[in-house]
Amino acid sequence: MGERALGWGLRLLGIVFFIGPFIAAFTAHDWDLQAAVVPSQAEMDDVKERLSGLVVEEGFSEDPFIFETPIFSNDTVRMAVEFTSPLKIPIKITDLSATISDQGLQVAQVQMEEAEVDVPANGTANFTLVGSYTGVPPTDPEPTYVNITFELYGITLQLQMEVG
Amino acid sequence: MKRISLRMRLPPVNWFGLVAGALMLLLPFLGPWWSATVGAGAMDLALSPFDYRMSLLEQPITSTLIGYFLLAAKLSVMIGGALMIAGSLGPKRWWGRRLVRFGAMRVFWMVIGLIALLLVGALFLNSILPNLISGMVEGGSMQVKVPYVEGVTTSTIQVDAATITAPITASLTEIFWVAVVVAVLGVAARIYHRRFVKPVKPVKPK
Repeated sequence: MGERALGWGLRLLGIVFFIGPFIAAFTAHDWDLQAAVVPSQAEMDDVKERLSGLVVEEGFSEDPFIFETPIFSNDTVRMAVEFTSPLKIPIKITDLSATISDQGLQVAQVQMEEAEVDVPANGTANFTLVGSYTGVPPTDPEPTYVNITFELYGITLQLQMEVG
Repeated sequence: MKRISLRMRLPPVNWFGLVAGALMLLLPFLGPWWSATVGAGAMDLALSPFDYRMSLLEQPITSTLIGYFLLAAKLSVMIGGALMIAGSLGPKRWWGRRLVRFGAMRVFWMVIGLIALLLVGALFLNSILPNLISGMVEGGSMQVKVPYVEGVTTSTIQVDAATITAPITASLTEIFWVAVVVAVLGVAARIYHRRFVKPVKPVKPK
């Protein structure tokens, strides 16, 4: 008799541990299935706010870049760049390369001198692009293609843009 | 004087059950069994049958139902552990077998369940999800690679001139291996308990 009662008691306990969570969760949310299962609206709003920091309304164009006039000396070309981040979170630029053209002709390829550059949220960073060059210095050099690689939250984004 | 061995003097105890039961009382508080990270804080996930932590862009995400389920699992294992200790201390009592059986296989099935969940989850993300959302990435490609239980992979999304690369790292923690030890001890306790149960002789009909 006792063994049978214990058997049924333990079986019942197992059922309570399975059904109990459903009842507790649904009762806590007035039997609203969605509210019991999915994260709360406040949590989703926090995530949305974080995600909005990653979105650039007008798209990620060349506007954040200010390219100074390239300086040619001793077979080397140097170009100062100012980057103003359109993102609401800090990023790290790990690579930036650009093609310098003169009268529509590619004359040099420049790369970021620094190993990496940290840019604060909506902040500005300055860095230098360097490359080699042979021949007569061009008269009207300007960057035409830009390839930028940056990291945010450990995720790498690589963008190719046509500028100028 | 007749010498009596220590084994003879000690009351019968299911030692496997005793150790497994004690560890079952501790196990829910030791931490996650498995963890995964996308990038560096883009998405973090830490799982065990008793607890979970999920965050997207460092914002924690919770679910009431899952929270209560994990609480029930925690209580279930702790009660199972306590009953297994009781059953192991009185293996020859009429209630001993029942109590040991109630707790013995709990952690074992939790270990199997977690591994199955991880395998099914990775299979879904690697094989089914890309087909479901392939139409959403117009003019681009999507290559999702998620590690099966453990490992490091890289997923890539390419749209026009933009490429997004996300490293995904997943690993079983040391607590998982503690859980495996508890599961093995639980199974051993159940098998070992048979030696305390007298086989019932079939009654011959008169």
